[in-house]
Amino acid sequence: MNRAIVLLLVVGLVWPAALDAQGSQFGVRGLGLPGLPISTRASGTAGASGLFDAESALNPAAPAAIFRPTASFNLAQHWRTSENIFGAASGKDTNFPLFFTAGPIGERMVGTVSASVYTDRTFALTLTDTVLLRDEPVTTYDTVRSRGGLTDVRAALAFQASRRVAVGLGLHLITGTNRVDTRRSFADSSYNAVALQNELSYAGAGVSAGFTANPGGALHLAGMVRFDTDLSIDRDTVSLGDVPLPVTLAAGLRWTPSRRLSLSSQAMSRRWGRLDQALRDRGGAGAVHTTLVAAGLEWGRNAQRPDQLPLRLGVRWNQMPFPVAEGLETGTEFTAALGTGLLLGGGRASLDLSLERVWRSETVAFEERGVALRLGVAVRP
Amino acid sequence: MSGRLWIAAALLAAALAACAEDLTVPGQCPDLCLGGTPRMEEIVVPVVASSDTTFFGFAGLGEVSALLVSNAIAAGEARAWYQFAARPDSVFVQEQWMPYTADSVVIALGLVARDTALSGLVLYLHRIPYTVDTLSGFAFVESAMTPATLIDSIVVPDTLRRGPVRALLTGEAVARLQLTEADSGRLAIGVRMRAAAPSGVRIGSLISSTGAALMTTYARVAVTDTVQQRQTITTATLTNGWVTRTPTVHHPDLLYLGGAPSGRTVLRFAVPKAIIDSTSLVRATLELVPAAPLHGLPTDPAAIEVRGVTADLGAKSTPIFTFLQSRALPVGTRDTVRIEVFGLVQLWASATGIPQTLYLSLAPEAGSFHEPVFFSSRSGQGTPRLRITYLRPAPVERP
Repeated sequence: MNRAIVLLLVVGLVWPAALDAQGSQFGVRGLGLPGLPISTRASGTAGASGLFDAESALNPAAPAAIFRPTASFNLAQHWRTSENIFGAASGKDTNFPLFFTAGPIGERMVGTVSASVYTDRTFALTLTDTVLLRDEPVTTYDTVRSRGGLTDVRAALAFQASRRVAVGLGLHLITGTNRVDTRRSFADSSYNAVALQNELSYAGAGVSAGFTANPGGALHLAGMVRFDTDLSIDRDTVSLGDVPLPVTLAAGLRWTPSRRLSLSSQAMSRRWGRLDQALRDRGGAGAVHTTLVAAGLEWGRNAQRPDQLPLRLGVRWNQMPFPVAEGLETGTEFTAALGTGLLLGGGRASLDLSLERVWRSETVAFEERGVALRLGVAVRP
Repeated sequence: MSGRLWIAAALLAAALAACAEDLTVPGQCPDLCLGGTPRMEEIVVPVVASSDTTFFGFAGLGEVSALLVSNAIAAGEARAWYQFAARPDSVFVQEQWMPYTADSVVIALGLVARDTALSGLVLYLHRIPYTVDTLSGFAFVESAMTPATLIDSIVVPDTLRRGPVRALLTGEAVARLQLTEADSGRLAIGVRMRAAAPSGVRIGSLISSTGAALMTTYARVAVTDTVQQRQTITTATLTNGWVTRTPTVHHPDLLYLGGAPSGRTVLRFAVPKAIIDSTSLVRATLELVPAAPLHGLPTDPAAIEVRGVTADLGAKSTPIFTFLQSRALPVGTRDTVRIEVFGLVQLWASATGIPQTLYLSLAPEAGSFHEPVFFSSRSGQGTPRLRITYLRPAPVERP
């Protein structure tokens, strides 16, 4: 099974371009659409259990519950319909939101390496305009295609400080590229189509710390804080300077009244507003602080084997940090999720599935409805 | 395989089968436009002062692709002529040279182009002095084309746009082509025309695809063998040419294309490097201002061909033959002639060492009624210029 882990690592390394790809009109501005570094299992509860989920990359303390070498990857297929004042379009795309590996180091420590979506700036826009050329109006057709975004590579250590408390520390490398292809064609064939290619590259770092605790009984607590450095941006070979990245604070509660039932909730604040002035200085539409709240449950249908095909449900509401258009308020996102999973090979492998229904809106002008089907595969030799 | 594994396999297959991408969303700048609105700009680049010039002598009268014949058109009065090879006065029959008697003669011409809108086209063939050559002027040819020298006329069917036409001479008419010792057995003919209105035609030359005039003599020889009594003697064109009443006088401050001997024009530009290197070209148009109305045959257009050069050596510049942009010439206007040369200007941007030089010629080069004349940078008006439309790179980093 070690080969399986190696294989998953290789896949993760050679497939970085596929890590971020969720075409959304809400990923056009700022740094894109922020991602949540949660596993498919946690996405079944709409992320409500993310701070407690050992195979998510949100809380560096959570992997302390891992007692075997583990490798997992997550695949998501998105279908969505976008509407705005210029029209409507349906789209679909695939991404790999999280690669995760972990292994015990001694009896009380677990090391993890993961790669997840920090922000996603993958989208394609079709734009139509009329410009005055040589004293005559000429209709132009633009296609702006952007691929990439920011990837969060985390190396973390989780330490089981006591029977009830685990703490963790994570170091983050934020990297990524954003390839922007712009194509312009003209209704008047006298004008020749133009294709422009640019690449923006990013580099930053961060540190996160977290804990999980069981103060007693069925109640569990978790929390994390994360600080990121400024993000440097280059266009091709030209430095464009730095922009700050947000501080993240998150706290979660889990109540497990029985072996079959677990209720979770989570709140997160990301201080994206730190970017506001930097983005405006660059001609952007600014940014605001965001809040995320989520609640969910996991119910084991089989009392003897609650991990076999449990039912997971959850809802999540969060704000989006970057206004789509200048002068508009930032949008919100509401997600309803359900999921399940099963263990294979006596727990040596697992397969999780979740289905998310997402509604995004920013005033009445920009709306998006989508469905995301996520599949998570983990091996634990 | 267990039921669980079947479920797992099915889920994985379904997920992977769904892997496809369609990201497009409608938008409008600047509301939903990454990096702001791409900016389009235009620049007019005049030809480098006094660097534009015309070189002559590329295709002479003897190398024209067609001969011109016209009747009172604005492009000029023109007459064509053919000089045939010597026709023998005897044929070799039964191992001896024997005199013959011409029964009939056919003179065939190739019609290359005509004004198809006009009817009643008639070509007139005259016998002219065989001493005609490429130095002969209009007066020499025209003065020889009298009623007394008329050989025959060819009524061209209105439906014929291009192809062979012929004159058949029989009986007493054959005597009009009688060759004497003084002629050294050679015949030269002049061609003029008439139509329902002023017009012109182009007829075949030695290097045209239709071929030059051909004279075929059907003769009879006095021998007893009836098979050998009838002989055919074919006489090909030796030289040909055309003359015009108003030959062009070239002015050093103007630019010329075509004519005979033909002229080609070289234009040199200095487009700013900032435009060539740092923007995306979307359109480049060469603008030439005619110094005189553009004359020609209405339904037989000529085209200006524009090429780049691999090295600018003036008249001996090597054109880039693989890359050509052309524009058919209108007739009867003085409007600015605009030729799209995007591909050539793009070449300046992409290939290092390609000079910013345009090499202009006319097609057909020396066998056309069109002989456009344009202002140059020395004319004080209508300087040749490039109008370039380009796109400035959009600031994609704008968040």
